[in-house]
Amino acid sequence: MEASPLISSTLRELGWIAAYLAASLIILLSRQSYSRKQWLFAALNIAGVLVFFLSTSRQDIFSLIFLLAIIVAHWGLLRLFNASGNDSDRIYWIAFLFPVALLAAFKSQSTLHMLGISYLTFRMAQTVFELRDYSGPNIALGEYLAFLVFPPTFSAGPISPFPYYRDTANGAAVSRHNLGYGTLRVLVGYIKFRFLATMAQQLTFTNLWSDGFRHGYGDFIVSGGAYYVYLYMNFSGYTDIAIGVSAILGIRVKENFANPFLARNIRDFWQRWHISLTEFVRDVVFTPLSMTLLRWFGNRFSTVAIIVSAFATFAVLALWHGTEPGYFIFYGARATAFSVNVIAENGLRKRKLLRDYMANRWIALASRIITFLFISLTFAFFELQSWTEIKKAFALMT
Amino acid sequence: MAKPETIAKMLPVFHEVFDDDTLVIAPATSAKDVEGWDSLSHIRLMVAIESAFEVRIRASEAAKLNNVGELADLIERKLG
Repeated sequence: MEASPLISSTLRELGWIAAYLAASLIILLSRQSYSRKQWLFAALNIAGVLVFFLSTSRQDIFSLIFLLAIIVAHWGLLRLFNASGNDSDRIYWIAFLFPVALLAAFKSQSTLHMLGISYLTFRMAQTVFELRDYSGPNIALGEYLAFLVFPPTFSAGPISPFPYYRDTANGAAVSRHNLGYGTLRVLVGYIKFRFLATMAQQLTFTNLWSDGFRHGYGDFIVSGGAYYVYLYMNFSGYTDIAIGVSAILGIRVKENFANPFLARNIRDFWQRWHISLTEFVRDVVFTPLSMTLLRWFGNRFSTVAIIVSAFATFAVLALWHGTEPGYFIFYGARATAFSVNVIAENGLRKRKLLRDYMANRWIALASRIITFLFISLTFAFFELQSWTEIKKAFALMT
Repeated sequence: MAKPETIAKMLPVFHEVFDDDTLVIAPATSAKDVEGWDSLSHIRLMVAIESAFEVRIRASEAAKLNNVGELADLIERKLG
């Protein structure tokens, strides 16, 4: 009896992962200098990106060469920043905006596609952000290449800080414990990514609503909820694989999810879902914008400043995903819920009721259910995306 | 190690931001020790500290602070 295509492809991938791990461990555990190890690791990672994500077609080879050229150019900017003592505001902004501008250029056209460009540019921008207050040695080119084209995090993150990589990509944390932990994490990830996600996907709009029948209003939430579960299993499963593979190599990678289904409000949700991206936009958009508005208008208008910053940050996230109206409805609803939460908690805090509110377990249970339903509802628009699909879904509802 | 006078000058700022005149701070005091010290009130705290000490704190610096002592050290570095 032949194995199903799903199982065959999973076993094939696991085989390639095992081969990558074996080669990586040989390099990281060798007696080479750190610098030479990083050059070898960079070469292996470039080959890994070709094997796992690209092909040997001319287009993909050119894409990879272009990516490497971007990384080398950005490294040059980092060296200039280092030469200024990590102090020059002008060079900082050039180095920070270079990958952001590149991403915007790619997103604004539909001819060229480059897998991994979003996460690559965010990692580059984050490295500049981190370097400003970093006291470690300058980043070497081999090290930077190895970090940015590290296959586990190349295509979908997590957006892990450079210091995490530097502190652990030397083989020192390779251990039996990490081997066991990493292996278990990879297996859990595969179960979520390949099997549980596929099961949840059966009830999403794409599948359930193409059955030719009309659907009740309840099905809208069911499909939204199914998409929420599908996305979680798919994305967190992939993250588990990435973190697990990294852990086997003793390399630390930032966590990306923390039980989002337990979120009791939208603010809590954003601290549990796609954490590396949320913290990145919080640090480079939300916090600087909030602080600037507070400086201009004073603490008396702090709530307004926070709400304006929240809407701006969620608008950036919407644009990062694309220009479809579904993304703006999705993030607009989130920004509104975030603002309502801020105002409500401020009110409770002023009346000294916040502690009791947070401690009440029935309120906690109700909050979690309401938050889950709200997130499911908004994820419906994230899946539908275009006005055409949204109108089609509403037309099918009885 | 932060000077006691810096931390003493920070105290009224904490009282105002967290609306609690009974609050006591020490170098090891962190967000988990102060009710209401979350990411949003942290932003308000940073701007209030800037105003009280006439310094400018970057968002990247604000993000890396772990306790009152590190904030006091940062203030003293900026004051030179």
